[in-house]
Amino acid sequence: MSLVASSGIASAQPEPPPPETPAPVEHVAPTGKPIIIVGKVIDAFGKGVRGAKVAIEGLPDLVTKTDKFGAYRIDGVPTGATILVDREGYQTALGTATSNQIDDIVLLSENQYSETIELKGEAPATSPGAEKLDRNELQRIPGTGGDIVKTLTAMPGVVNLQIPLGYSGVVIRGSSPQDSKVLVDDFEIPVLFHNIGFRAVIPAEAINSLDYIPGGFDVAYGRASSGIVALTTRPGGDKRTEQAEISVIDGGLLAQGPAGKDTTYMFGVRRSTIDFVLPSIIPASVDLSLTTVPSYYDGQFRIDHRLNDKWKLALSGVGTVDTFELYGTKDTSASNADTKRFYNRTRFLRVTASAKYHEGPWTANLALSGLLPEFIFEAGAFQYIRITNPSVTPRAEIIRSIPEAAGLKDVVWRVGGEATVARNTVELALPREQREGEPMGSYDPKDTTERFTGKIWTPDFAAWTAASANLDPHIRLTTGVRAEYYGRPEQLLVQPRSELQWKLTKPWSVRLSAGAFSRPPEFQSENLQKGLKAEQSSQVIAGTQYEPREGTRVQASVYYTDRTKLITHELDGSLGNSGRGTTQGAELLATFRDGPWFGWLSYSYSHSTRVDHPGDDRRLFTFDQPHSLNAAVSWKKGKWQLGGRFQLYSGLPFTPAIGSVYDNTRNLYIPVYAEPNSGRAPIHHQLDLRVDRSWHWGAVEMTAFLDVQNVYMNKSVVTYIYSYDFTQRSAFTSIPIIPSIGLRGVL
Amino acid sequence: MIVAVLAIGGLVACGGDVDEQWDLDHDRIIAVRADKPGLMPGETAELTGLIGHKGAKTEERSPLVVIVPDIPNAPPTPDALKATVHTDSGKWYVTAPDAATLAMLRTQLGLGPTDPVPCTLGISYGETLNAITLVRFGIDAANPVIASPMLDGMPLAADAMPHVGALVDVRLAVTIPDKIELNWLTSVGHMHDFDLAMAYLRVEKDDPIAGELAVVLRDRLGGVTWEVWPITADDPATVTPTK
Repeated sequence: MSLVASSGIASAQPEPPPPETPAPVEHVAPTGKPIIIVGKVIDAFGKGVRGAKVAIEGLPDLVTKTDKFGAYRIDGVPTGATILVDREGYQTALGTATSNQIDDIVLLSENQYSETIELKGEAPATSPGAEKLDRNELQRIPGTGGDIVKTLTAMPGVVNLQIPLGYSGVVIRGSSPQDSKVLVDDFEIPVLFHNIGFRAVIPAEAINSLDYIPGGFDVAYGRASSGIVALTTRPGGDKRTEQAEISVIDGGLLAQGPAGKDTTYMFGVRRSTIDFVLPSIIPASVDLSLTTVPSYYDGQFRIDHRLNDKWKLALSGVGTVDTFELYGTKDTSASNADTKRFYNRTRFLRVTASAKYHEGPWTANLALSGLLPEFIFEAGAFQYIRITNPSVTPRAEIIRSIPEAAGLKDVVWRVGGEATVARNTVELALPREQREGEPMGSYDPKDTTERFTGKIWTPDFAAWTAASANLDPHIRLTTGVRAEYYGRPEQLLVQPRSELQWKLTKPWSVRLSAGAFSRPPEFQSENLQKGLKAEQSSQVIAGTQYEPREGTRVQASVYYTDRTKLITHELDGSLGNSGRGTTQGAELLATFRDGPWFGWLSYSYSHSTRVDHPGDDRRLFTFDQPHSLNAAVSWKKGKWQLGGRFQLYSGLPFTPAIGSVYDNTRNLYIPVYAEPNSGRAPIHHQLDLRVDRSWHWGAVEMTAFLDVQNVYMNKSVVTYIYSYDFTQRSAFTSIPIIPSIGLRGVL
Repeated sequence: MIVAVLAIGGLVACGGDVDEQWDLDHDRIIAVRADKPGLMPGETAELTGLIGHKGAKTEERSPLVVIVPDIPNAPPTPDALKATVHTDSGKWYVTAPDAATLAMLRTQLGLGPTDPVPCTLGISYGETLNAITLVRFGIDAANPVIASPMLDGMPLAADAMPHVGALVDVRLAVTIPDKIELNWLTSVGHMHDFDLAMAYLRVEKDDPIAGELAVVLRDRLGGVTWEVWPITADDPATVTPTK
């Protein structure tokens, strides 16, 4: 069940109008059977609002004020009556008296008119260090080009780098990218960004909100041993709009709006444009033929339908296609030119149907999601990987709210379950894969040490339950357990998790979180080996939050993560669960929103290490980044929006080569390396600036933007690339300046 | 995907800081050759390396030391294999064991009764191991042959001293059967498609105009052969650019 407040209108109906959709609240005549209603009025940050006036429309005698916790009670309210909530400094909010227990009514302050706050019936407890950004804020952080991937790099705990990492692209709190999950409408997507342009597969315009949970996440989330990035697609609003946007990287169209009284829609499509200019910027002297210039398409849709007061339905989907083919020669007709061919096609389609039910104290979230991914990569004449792994995931969660039970207040109990069943069809002939911590080997185009052709089923099941309750007016405890059964390794894991929220003297609060987490052995070649077990982690997090005034928030957290059963190569080349690791760190995030100003300051300290096999020396994690600082400020008034962002972060470790041995038969040099990750790239800093200017062109609302990354052209080292015989190395540097110009029109 | 990012990004973001694989003007072992990579019982082959030097010509040189090393993460190499290398008058040789010893080695290594017995040789030109190469015992195999090398459509004889134009694509070609790999190498100009049968050389401004041109052929069974020619080019400063 969701409650959505938008533009100051809050609904206590089980199912809300979608964000930005102050859908008509049905003013049911207050003639129903009189009941006693109890509820709570909260602000955008979930805190109770004291002294709010709660009245019943058309019945002036039925009025009260909320207590210091935001709670209220009114007797004799006709069923179906409209509840009006007022308080100075906030916009009026509405609700409907459908039952005795009214869901929280959200009051939005006057300057939050454009924000959308979504509260799920009982939203999973957010852990210390978590953050939520809506679309407007996503687009306000300068230097991100309004892109989700780059926005994530501003989050404390996320490793920042000038180029993307791996396919999921997010390294959170000293863990590998595959240890964290990126979800869209609560379900995993296999790829986060396109193969060129470093753009996310979903444009910010099609996103409603981004939840960043770096650790200690709720039992409703699984299959990840580090963090969660949850994206919610944008529902259609109450006003129909069509918009087009084009930049030097890509261009897209998006349409959204209502379709009838109870239905809204959103459709978006985007295509890369950089492939039109890419061939012209590659020097003519380079031996390269782009037979299929790298390009991408992506699309998104969402349809919401309100069936009745109890049921709300949604159907959403995201998809993407990335393709390229190149030859490392200009003469593609040469007899053995196929040895220099590289081809990739990556595509996926995720479609999710969901139903949300709410009546009285009961809420149910039901969903069925399907994923159709395909990944093809061919290198030269001998090496290839072709994978299709369609999966289906049914999920159900039931929530029961109990005002008081066993001396506890505001008790919420949740129980849920899901199954993720995938059929992996794999054809591959590749060299032994490089695991985290292993330096790059020699490139041998004929090496096909790993070969596999066949089908692999990965049936995974999970069930969870959790209870939240107020131990006293200041302390709320959430405790639960998640049981995972991973079918491929036939492994059952029971993972307890708890979170304690303690509201100290205003404006301070403290949160403590601890739990066990796991990731199934389904990354890259892990599936090919049946005996592998899941990687596991235990996390302990403590955080404090200081909120001196509305719009200003400072949160700090410290954490410790212990990792076990990490998957590493054994001496015989097979994979095993011999690895261990630890990460400790501290994070600070301060946000400021006031009038035209938006400010953001984040700093992370992290130290992450690994031991690959018992008895091995401890080494640095490949993406260990001790320091990362982001400071951003944005000012928006009238037709102008200006912003700047400064980044300063440590370079990543690398393993220096100290020599090589020539393999005459294979015609390559076998590197001899120093201790793993014993070198480190230099520190990087850059300043990004963004200017937006809006105007009207007839009925079209136009916006032009200029987003310049690295304005003072600091060309820093990302990592080092060795020569073919490992006697020389070249710095792989960031592109010194990245300007992005774009134009958006909304009709 | 990340390969594409690195491939394209690499073109933009780096390059020029390290020597190319086709560059003869670099200190390294370019290739190692046994006179015969497949030796019948009792046959002997001499081992020779083609060595590249920074600022000097390539040279053919005998190794300082040759051993039959143990292979990491594999059972110890049998002593009978370790005894197959010997030195004489500053040159190094490998001699195939007799038939009885080969039969014993096949049993020891889990090979079939007629399978060739592989032997990895470790080559050193100093104090450390510099290269490894493969010879096979119990099989008669020769090194590949450089057939019909051509420069700009003209045959390139072994004793030729070619001269090429500057700022033009100079075509190089050699006929190779399947499963043979080759490398074109030079210390004059820039080599393009250096690992294809048809490559081309282009001498750009500031490139050296006198040096060497080489081609190395190899199979994956230890067979190696090479040819090196002295080469000169027109001075790019004195010619008009053409395609």
